[in-house]
Amino acid sequence: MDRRKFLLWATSAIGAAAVGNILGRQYFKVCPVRLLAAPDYNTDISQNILQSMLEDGIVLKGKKVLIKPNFVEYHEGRPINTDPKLLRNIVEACSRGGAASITIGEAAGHRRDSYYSVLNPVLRKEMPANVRLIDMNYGDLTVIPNRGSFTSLKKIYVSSELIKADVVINVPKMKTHHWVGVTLSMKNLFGTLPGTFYGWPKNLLHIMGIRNSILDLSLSIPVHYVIVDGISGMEGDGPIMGSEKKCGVVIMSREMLAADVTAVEIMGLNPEKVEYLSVASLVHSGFQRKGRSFPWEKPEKFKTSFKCLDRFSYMKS
Amino acid sequence: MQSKEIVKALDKYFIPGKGFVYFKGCKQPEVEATVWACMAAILSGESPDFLEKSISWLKQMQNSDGSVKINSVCQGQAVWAASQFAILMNLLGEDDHCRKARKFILTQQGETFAEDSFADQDNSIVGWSWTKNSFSWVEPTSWALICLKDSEFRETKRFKDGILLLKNRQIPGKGWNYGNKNVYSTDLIPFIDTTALALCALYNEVEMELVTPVVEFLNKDSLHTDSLYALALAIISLTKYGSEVASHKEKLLQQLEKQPGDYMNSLHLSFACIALAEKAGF
Repeated sequence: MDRRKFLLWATSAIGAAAVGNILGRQYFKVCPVRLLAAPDYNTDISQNILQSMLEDGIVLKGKKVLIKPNFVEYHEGRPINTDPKLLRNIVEACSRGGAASITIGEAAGHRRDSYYSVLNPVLRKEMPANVRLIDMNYGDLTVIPNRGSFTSLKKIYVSSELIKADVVINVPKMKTHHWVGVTLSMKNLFGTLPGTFYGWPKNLLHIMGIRNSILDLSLSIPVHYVIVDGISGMEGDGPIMGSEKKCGVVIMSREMLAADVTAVEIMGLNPEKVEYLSVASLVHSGFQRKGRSFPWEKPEKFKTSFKCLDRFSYMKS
Repeated sequence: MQSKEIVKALDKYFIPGKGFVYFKGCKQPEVEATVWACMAAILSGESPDFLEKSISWLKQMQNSDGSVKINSVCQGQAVWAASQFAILMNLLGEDDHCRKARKFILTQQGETFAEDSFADQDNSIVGWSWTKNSFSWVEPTSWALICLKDSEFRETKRFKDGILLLKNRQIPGKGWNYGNKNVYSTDLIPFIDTTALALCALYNEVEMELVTPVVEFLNKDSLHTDSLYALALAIISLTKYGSEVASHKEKLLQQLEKQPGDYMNSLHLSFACIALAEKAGF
């Protein structure tokens, strides 16, 4: 489905569930988005991350925390995954905040072999021994209702780890994506679905339309906090084959859309031209600039220009 | 750790009276984990208590149409589980279960699409998908071919199309990944596990000149990985093609000692055990 058809279709396809969602929200609430300068991964930013979460009202004390990075495929030297050092900072922030347990979980889309994903030693060696690493492609499943209506899926199978967690922290890498333009926190939700049910890749979601699936997942899967790894991103032919692009920023928010739109602006792209974000503005807060506040740094400080594949050049306008 | 000890270690993943879970602490037994734990036990020559009960549970997971559930939570969505189930049933001589599963597999076919300008591949070739009503991919096609190889269905068009699909999806001069060889004019990166599996499926089905460079690639590349699963599948595949695997086995045994027990996937343990056996059973 091309972009125009998708937008036309999406407008008509936002059914009762989505409308209910819109009416049920305070749609003009302002979403704080905290931007933290981090020139590289060696800076200790754990206290800043904790401060951001606390200022945003996230309660960690005594909670079971699930951190969902983008750890889709490990290749040494390639900026594909959320950096383990940033994850270490988030783990330390959660520990300091009193989390009862911390798990890092990922269900990589292409890699059947967990060694090349979340069970890679690169991640393990960075983590304290009490942090669990789990491949959510395998293991117990829970069925949840699809709270969106962009796909025809009535229910969604997710890793039970996601449901057991009190606090889910979504930690995407700032990257371009060769099918949908960009991959950030909303697209990162694909990695909560088990490959044992959906396959490698999760092709059923592709068949339903990647954009539609992103929107349904964003309405159905609980996410309490977003931390975008924009210290070093990927431009060009992302999410795997692109090149490194340094931005030096960590983006934090309670709202996925607010975080993603801010990231897109920093990438030098127009959020209105990223179809699924544009449609998401009907069901999530934080799309418009006036709907976001920046209590820490301003996005302009980090603004850069990510290279895109030719087919996505329109996103730059 | 030798086969006997691996089978003993596998016992800790067994849910009494049912089947195996992937990770310790999980509660839902899985068909895939159970198929390969049983295969590992049989090939190691062990007769652990879990074997009979697991096989019985597996048979209960087959639906009347021959499809097989992936676990007790999900219904018969997964096509690939039926292939793996049939491979075990064939080894066990459970002809009825095996034949029903094979027939179901033949009723399943990946969706086809028009050519697109993004991926350099023939989208019209029919293989097997992971789930119903989706596209054909390398791994489910490989499992389907492996399970059909040993049967009268080897002569069917479906089987031959499956072979064609694997040939079409091969990354030039290398092996296979999940199933896109080239996107936006860039060759993608092959995976050891998928390459090993596709080679198993193609064994005796294509000219040796086609696969020899891939076998060489796999032989070399797999010695550089520390992944138990990738090493195990590479050994199984290379053994079929008559390659020397002593170094691979040595590395596999070293990795078995190093793996952190709590994070070990039972599937990887089972394949390690199968790789150490004389013959893979598929």
